[in-house]
Amino acid sequence: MLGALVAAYVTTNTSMSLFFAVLAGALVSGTACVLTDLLVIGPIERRGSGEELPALVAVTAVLFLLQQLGGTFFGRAPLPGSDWVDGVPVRLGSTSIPRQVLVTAAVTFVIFTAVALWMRRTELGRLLRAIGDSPGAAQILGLPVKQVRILAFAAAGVIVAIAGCLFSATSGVQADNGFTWTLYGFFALVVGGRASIFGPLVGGVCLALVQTYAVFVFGGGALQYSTLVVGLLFFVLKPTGILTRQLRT
Amino acid sequence: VTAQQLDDIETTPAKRRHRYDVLFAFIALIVGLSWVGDDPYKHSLALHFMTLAIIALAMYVPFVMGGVVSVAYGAYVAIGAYAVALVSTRSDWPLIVAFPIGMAVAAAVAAVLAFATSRLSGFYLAAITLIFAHAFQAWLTDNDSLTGGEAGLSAFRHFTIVGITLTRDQIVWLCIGAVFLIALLLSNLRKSSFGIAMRARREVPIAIEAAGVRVFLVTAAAQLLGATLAAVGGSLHAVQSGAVIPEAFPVALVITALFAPLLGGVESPWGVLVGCVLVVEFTYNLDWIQETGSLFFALAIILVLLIAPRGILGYRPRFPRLPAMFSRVSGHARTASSEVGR
Repeated sequence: MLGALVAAYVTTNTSMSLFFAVLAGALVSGTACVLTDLLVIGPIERRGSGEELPALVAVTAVLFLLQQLGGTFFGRAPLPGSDWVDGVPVRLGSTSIPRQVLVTAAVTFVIFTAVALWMRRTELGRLLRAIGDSPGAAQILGLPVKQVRILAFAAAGVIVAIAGCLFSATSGVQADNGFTWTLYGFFALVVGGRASIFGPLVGGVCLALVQTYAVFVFGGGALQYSTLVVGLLFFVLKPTGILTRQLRT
Repeated sequence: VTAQQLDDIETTPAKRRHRYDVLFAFIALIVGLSWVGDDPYKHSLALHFMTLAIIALAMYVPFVMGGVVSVAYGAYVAIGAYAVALVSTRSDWPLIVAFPIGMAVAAAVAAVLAFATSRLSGFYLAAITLIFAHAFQAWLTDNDSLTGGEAGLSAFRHFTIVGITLTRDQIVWLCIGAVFLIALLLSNLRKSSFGIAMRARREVPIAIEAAGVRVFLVTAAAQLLGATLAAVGGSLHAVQSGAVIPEAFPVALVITALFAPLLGGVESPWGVLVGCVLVVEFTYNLDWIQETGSLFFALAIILVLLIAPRGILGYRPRFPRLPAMFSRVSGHARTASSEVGR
């Protein structure tokens, strides 16, 4: 939300190109993510005894703060996003697909592939996975937990900023979008499963298909009903998500 | 655990703090009522305070005491408000009947939601209850024939109790008095056996399960109590404002109510009221920061979480012993509440 707001504000109010606007959004979002970890989440986690509740309250408070910051600096009214490419829609048989949708799909695929390669093929990626699996053990082994964590938060900030810029091209962006976008992102993660890097992609596609089909058949309110049903089904009955890791017994 | 045993467990400074809290809250109630007077602007501030305070108090038992982060309270408040709206516009029944109807429906919905989400906690529970609140708001908007759709319902009848029609001033006083009574009830409930079980559930759920207390039942009871109180808040809001729309209780209001106890102090429900007074003052009343009131509040929450996690009331000084008469009155009230809790 913050990255998309910055990019939309820059393109609307300055003569800066879209590339630099997205760059500015990614920079602000990445910095906000790192500061969030350094100043809020990290200290609160260290003070607690591994409880989830203080971290949940801290994350919600930060999200609330970012929404208020966004609303104060960029206004409460929706800002229009910018298309990354111009031109007439591409025709595939009887279907007409806007170029922006194709760009969104392509950029999404590139980001997921890059993150997967980073995680599997690089030393830093393996380090990140090791720390994520067992932060305590990583600390005892003398691994650079703090530095890797900062890098992870920065990467997360940049990725969500790009996602926000892509999404705002079709829907616009406003400060109040923060909670809803975070909520749908979390749903996509749970539905897809955390066992694979591509889990959130699968979850996002499934959730979007259900939401779109429900709205098409039952009308506007079905967006929320279908999300609730999908959420209850997966959260309660299959919290591991669609993509699960097979373990030998 | 008997009321006498609880009395023994509780230390003298804690008892004294509880009694001072009640005394100061009572003084604040009198000051608040005289400050509101018959000024319409102050009435609207009092309405904001009442709505926020009752939602925050409704969330106090499940969230602060039990660590259950359910954010479906916007839906429960709306149920209470629409109960008043429907009784007023679709029946000849007196409006007071809408209160128990709203409470019963909200409790039933909370029971279903508590059962469906009994295996969830933390981020998962917060996410699913948030989307439930969104879905309920969409349902209110979609059902034009019942709820009036986006325009909602308005022009409610006058509120009467035992044949006396209350004026707008009197309804405001009733609302503020209700907030005080609910806070007093929860303050005493916190020290009852139910309250202790709820607080233990947050810290060591497995231990209270081993002690023979069903964690699910305690959690569900807390959520039902919260939903019932939220419905009362919604009904009072509808009676006072005379109209209700689906967007009257947005998720942002519930999130604000979630943070109020953190700001005011989590150790007693009176901290919730301190937090709510500050929120209303920052976001509605102070002219010079009105535009950025929510930003100040958000910053204050982060600072409190980092620097003063006990909240404002958590750092109040120790006070000398109160006169014996007041101690006896407060003690009797607490003993009675402990019996209810059991």
